[in-house]
Amino acid sequence: MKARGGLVRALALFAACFALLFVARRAGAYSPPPVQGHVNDLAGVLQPEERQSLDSYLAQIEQQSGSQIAVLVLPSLNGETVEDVAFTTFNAWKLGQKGLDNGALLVLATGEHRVRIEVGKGAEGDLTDLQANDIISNTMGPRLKAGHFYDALNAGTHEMAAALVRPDGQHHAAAPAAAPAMSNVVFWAILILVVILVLARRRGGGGGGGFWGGFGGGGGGYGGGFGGGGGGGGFSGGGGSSGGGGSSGSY
Amino acid sequence: MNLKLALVFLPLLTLLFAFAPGCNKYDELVQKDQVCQQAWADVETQLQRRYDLIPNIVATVKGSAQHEEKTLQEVTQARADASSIKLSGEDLDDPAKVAAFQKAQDNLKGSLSRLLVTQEAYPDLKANAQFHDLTVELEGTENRIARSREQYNAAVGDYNTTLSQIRGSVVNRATGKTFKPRPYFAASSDAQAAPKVSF
Repeated sequence: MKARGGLVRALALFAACFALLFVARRAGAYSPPPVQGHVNDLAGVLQPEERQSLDSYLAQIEQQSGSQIAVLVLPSLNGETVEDVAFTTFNAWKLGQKGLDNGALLVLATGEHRVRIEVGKGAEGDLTDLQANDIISNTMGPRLKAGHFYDALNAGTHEMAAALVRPDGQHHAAAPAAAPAMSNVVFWAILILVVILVLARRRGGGGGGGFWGGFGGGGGGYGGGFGGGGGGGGFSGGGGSSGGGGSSGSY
Repeated sequence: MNLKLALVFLPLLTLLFAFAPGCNKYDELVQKDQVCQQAWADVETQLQRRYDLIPNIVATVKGSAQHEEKTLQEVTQARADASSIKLSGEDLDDPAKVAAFQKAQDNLKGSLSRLLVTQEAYPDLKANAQFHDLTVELEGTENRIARSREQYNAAVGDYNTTLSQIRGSVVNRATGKTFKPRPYFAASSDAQAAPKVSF
C-alpha cells in the first residue's frame, strides 16, 4: 500500500514536471528565426536584388564602424507584441560587438502594420528613443502606407546608420576580450597538487624536483585552445545585447 | 613509511573532496546573489528614469489641460509614494516590503496611464511637440522597466533554484543560513498593459 502511494506520487511529480515544461514552452511562443544575413525577409516583400543591395549596404556599415544593423520582416507577430519579438530576436542574434552593445534591429510586421527599432544598450545615446520614433513615424510611416517596403526599409536603415556611425566613420575600439576564467576543476586540481607537493617535500626531500618540472610544462598548453569560435563567413552576431531601448510605432 | 604517508594523505584527500563541491556551491550562491543585486540596480535605474520624467509630463499637461487637476494630483501623489519606498540589500529578501514597493509602482503606472488617456480630450495637447516627445520617452522607459524586471526575475529564479536544490540548501544550512530566498518583482495583472500611445 505504502509503496503504491509512493509510486503514484512519483508519477504525479513526473506528470507535473511535464506540464511545467509544456507551460514554459507555451509562454515563450515566439522563437527567433535563425539569422540569415543583415536582411531577413520572412514575409517576402523584397525582390532578391533589393534584399542584396540592402544587405551589402549594412555589411559595409558594419565593416566601417563595427555597428551591426539587422532587419527582420515578418508576415505576422502571431499574437506577440512587436516589443517582445524585437527584444527576443535582438538578444538571440546578439547584435553589436560584445561589450560595446552597438547593434540595432529594425523589425517590420506587415500583418499587424507594426514597426520597431530595437537599440543595443551601448547605442542608446547615439540612436535615442526619440530619433527612433522619428524614423518610424516620419521616414518609414508614409512609405509603408504607400506599400513601398524596400523604400521604407532602405530609408529607415540609412537614417539608423547615420545616427549610429559617427561622421568621421570612426571605428569603435574593440572590446577587450575577457581572459578565460580558470575553471574550478583546474583550481582544485592545482590546490590538491600543491598540498601533495608540500607534504611530499616535507617527507621525502629529493623527489620534489621532478614534480615541479612536470607541472610547469602542463600549464603552458592551457590558454592556447581558447579564443577561436569566430564566425566563419556570412553574418553572425558579435555578442551584443539590448536592454529594451528604442521605439515602436504603427503605420 | 608508505603506510604512514597514506594514513596522512587519505583523510586529507577525503576532506578536500568532500569540501570542494561545498565551496563551489557556496561560491555559486554568492555569485548568483550578486547577479540579482546587479539586476535590481538596473530596475532601479529605469524606475528613476520614470520618476524624472513625470514632473516634465505633469508640467506640460498642466499648460494645455485645465480640467485635469485631479488626475495630475494623483500622478504627483503616486510618484511621491513610490519614490519614498527605497528597497536595498536586506529588504529584497522581505516579501512584505517587496509587495509594498510593487503596489506603489503599480499605482504610479496606473495613474500615469489614466493621465495619458486624457490627452484624447485636448487637441492642442495632442499636437504639442513637447508632450509627444515626453510620451515617447515614457514609452521607452516603461519598456526598459519591463525588460529589467524580467531580467531581475530570471536572476531571482536562478538564485532561488540553486538555493533550494539539495546541495544548495545543505551548504546554506552549514553556513548558518546566510542566504535567503528572494521574492519575485512580478507585474500585477491590471498594470500589465503599458500606457499605449499611438500617433
